[in-house]
Amino acid sequence: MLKLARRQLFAFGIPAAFAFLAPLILVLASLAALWSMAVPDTGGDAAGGGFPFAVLDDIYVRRAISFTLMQAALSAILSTLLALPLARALASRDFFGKTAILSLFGAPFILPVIVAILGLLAVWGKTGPVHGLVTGLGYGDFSIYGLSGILLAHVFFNLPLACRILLQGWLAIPPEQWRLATQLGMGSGAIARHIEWPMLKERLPGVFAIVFLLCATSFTVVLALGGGPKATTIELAIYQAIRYDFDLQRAALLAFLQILLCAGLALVSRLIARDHDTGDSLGGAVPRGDRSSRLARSFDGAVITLALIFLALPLLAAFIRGMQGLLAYDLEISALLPATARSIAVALGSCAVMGLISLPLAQLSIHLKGKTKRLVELPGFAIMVAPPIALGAGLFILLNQHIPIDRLALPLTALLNGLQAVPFALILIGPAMGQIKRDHGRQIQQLGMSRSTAIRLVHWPLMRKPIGLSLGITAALSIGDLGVIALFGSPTAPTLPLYLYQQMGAYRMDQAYGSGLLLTAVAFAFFLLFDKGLAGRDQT
Amino acid sequence: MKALTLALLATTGMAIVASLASTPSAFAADKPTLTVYAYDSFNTEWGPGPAIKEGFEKTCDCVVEYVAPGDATETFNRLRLEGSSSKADVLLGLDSNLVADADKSGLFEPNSIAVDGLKLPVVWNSSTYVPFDWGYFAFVYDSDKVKTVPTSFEELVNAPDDLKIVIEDPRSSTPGLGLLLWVKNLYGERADEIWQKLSPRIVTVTKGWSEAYGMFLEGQADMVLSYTTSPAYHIEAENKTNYKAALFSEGHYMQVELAAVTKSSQNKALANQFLSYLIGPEAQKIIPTTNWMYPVALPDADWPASFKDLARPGKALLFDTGKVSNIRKVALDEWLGALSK
Repeated sequence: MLKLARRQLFAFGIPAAFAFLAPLILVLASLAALWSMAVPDTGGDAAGGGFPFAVLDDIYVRRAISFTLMQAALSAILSTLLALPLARALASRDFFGKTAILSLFGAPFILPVIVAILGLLAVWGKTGPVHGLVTGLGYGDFSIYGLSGILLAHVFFNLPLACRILLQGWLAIPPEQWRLATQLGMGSGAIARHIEWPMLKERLPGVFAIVFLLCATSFTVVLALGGGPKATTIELAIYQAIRYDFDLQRAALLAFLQILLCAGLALVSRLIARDHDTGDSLGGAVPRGDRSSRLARSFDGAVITLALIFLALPLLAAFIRGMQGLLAYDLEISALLPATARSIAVALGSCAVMGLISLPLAQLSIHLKGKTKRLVELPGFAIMVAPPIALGAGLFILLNQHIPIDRLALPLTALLNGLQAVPFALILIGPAMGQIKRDHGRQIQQLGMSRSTAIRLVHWPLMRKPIGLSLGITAALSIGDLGVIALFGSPTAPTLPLYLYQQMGAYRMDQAYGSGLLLTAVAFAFFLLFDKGLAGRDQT
Repeated sequence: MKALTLALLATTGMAIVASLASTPSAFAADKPTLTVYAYDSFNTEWGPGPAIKEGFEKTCDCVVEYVAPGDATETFNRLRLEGSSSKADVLLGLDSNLVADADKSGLFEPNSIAVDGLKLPVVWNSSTYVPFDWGYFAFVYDSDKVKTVPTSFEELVNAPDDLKIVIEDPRSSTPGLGLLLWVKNLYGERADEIWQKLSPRIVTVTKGWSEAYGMFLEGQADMVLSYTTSPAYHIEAENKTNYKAALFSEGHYMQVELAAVTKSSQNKALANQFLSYLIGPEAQKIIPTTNWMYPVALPDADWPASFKDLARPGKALLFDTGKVSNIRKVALDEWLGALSK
C-alpha cells in the first residue's frame, strides 16, 4: 500500500483503508462494549458476582449453547444425507424442466425467511394437509413448533444448497472416469467406491460445515418456530435478553459466547472445507451406465419428485394464501406502503455499505501478494464470526446510553445487513477482479489508459455481472431481514418483515400471508433489478 | 428490463411520498398528541383501544396515539429502553406484579387521581399506578373437545401427557408472569419440580397473549393460559358457550392492570385526564366487553349478562407487590432451567 503513488491515494488508498478498517473497528468496538457490560464494575447492581463466565453455571445458558450446537448438527446431517440421493439423481438424469428445478433450488436464497416459514406453517402446521394426513392415518400428533419445526425449516433452506454443491461435485468428475467405468463394466458399488467416494470425501465436510455454520447462527427460524426455552439458540437468547428481559448483562455474555463459538466454527470449517468453483455449470448429466435399470430410474424419479414436492409445496401454499390474503382483506395501504418504503431504503443502504466495503477490499486483495494478501481476508472473517444479532447487541450497548436506538434502527439495520453480505460479495467480486488484472492488466498499462477510461471500457463491462449479482443478493437479503430489525426496530415504524411479524403476533394470519406475498415480490423485484438490470441479460 | 426498472423506481418514489405523507405530525399539528403505550391486544379493532380513543378525543380536544410493541411486559421494557427520551405520555397495562420494577425504573410520576373508591378484590392505595381492570388467570378450554378437565392445579400437573397447553413467556407477557407466580405461590420450593412435570404438556411458549390465544383457537393446544373472563368473549361476541375456564380448587392468581403517567411526558395534564377517563363510567363500560376483564368502577347492575354468570374462583392469590420483584427473579431462573430441559 505504501508503494502507491500519491495521486492514487484518494482514488484507492483511502477507500481501501476504510474498507479494511471499518469492519474491524466495528467488530472490536462491539466486542469491547460487550465485554465491559458482561464484566460489570464491582459497584454494579447485578446479582451473581462479576465473573465473566459465571454465566456458564447458568443452566439456561448452557442449554442454549447445547441446543444451538445440537440443532445445527442435526440440520447439517439431515440436509447432507438427503442431498446425497437427490444430487446423484439430478446428476444422473437429464430431463425436461431440470433447469427450472435447479433455479427453484436457488429460490431459498432470495426468498425472505419469514415468508418461507409462513409457507411451511401452511403445509406442516396443525391446519395444514400433512398434519391432517398423518393424524387421519392414525400416526399420532406432531407439532411444527420446537426442534422438529426448526429442523424442518433448516432442511428446507439448506437441502438445495447442499444439493447444488454436491451436484457440482458429480459434474466435476471428468467424463473419462465414467467412460472407463463403463468399459470396465463397473457396478454401482464399484463406482461408488472408486469414483464417487473420492469426490464426496472432499466435498462432504465442506457441505456439512457450511450448513452447520448457517444453522448455528440462524435467527428468524428459531424466533418463529422455537418452542420456548426448550428450543432457544444463543442468537434467540440474546434477542430475548434484550427485548423481553432488558437484561443487558446476560445479553452481552451470550453475544460474547456466540462470537467465540462462531470464530471457532469458522476456523474449523476453514480447515476442513476447500474452495469450490461457484460457477453455474449445473446443466447436463454424467454419462453413467450403471443406473439405467428401471428400478434405478424410478428411484431417481421418486427422489426428485419428493424433493420437488417438499420444496415447492410451501412456496405454492404461501403464494396461494398470500393471494387470498391480498384479495379477501382490505389492504392497510397506510401501513404497508411506509413499511415497504422503509424496507427499500434499508436495502439500498445495505447495498451501499456492501459496495463501499467489498469493492475496495477485492481491489486491495488483487494488488497484494503473499502473506499480506491473507491479511485482507481479516475484515471478511471478522464479519463472519460476529453474527448480526451478536454484533447488534454490542452496538446496542454501545449506543443505548447516548442515543435513542429507535432513531438509528433503520441505518443500523442497513449497516449490519450490508456487512453481512460482504463475505458473499467478496466470493463473487474477488475472482472476477483478479481475472481482469491477469487478462487485461498489461494491456491497460501498455495502452496508457486513464483510470476512468479503463473502468469504463474494461472493468465495468466485465465486472457488472458479479457486482449486479452481489447487489441483488444484498438487496434481497436486506429486504427480507427479520433479525437485526427485530432487535432495533420500533413497533411504530416497522419494515415490511417486522410488520408481517407483528401481524403474525396478532394472529392476523391471512393478512400476514398477504404481506408475505408483497414482501417476496419486492425482494425478487430488487434482486432482478440488480442482477438482470445491472448485469445485463447477455453478459458472459 | 427498462420497463421493470421504471416501474420499480415509480413504486419506490410513491412509497416514499406516501410514507412522508402519512406521518401523523402532518395533520395533527394544531392539536396536542397524547401518546399511549399499550399492549398489542388492547389496541386491536376488537379491543378497547379504538372506542376509548374515540371517547376520550371527544372530551380532550387532542389526538390519542397508541404504540403497541407487544405484550404488556414487552411494552414496559420498550419504555425502559427508551428511557427519558421516550415520547410516551402514558403506559397502559402495567401488571401489579411489576410495580416494584416500575418504581425502580423511576420512569413514572405520581398523580392526583383518587383510587380508593375503586372496586378491587385487594386493597389498592398507590398514588402512581391507577388500576383500570382486573382478572383471574385461568386455563381456558373448549368443552366440546376436552372432556376430562382438571379441577385443581394438582390435577393439571398430573394430567395425561396428551393434554396439551400453550402458555406465555413470563419475560415478555403478563399472563406468563402470572402463571409463574401462581405456581410459585402454590408450590414454593417445589415450583421447579412442578414446571418439569408440566413441561411435556407445553406445546409452545409464546411471546404474548395474542399469539397463545390465537394458537389455541386454531386448535394447536387443548388449553391456553388466559383469564376466567375470557369465555365471556365467546358468549357475547360469538354466541358460543363451549369455551370455559377451568376452575382450580387451590385458588387462582390474579392480575390488576395499571396505567401510569411518565415523568418524561410533555402533556402531563392531558395524561392525568386520560387516566381519569379510563376509570370513569364511559371507559369502564367499554372495558368488560372489549378487554374481557373485570371493571374497577362499574355498578353491578351495568355488568354485561355474560359477566354476571361467570364462575368465580373460590380463592384469589396475589403476592405482596413489594416482595414480588425478588420472588420473580428466583422463579424465572427456575422456570428457564426447568423448561429448557
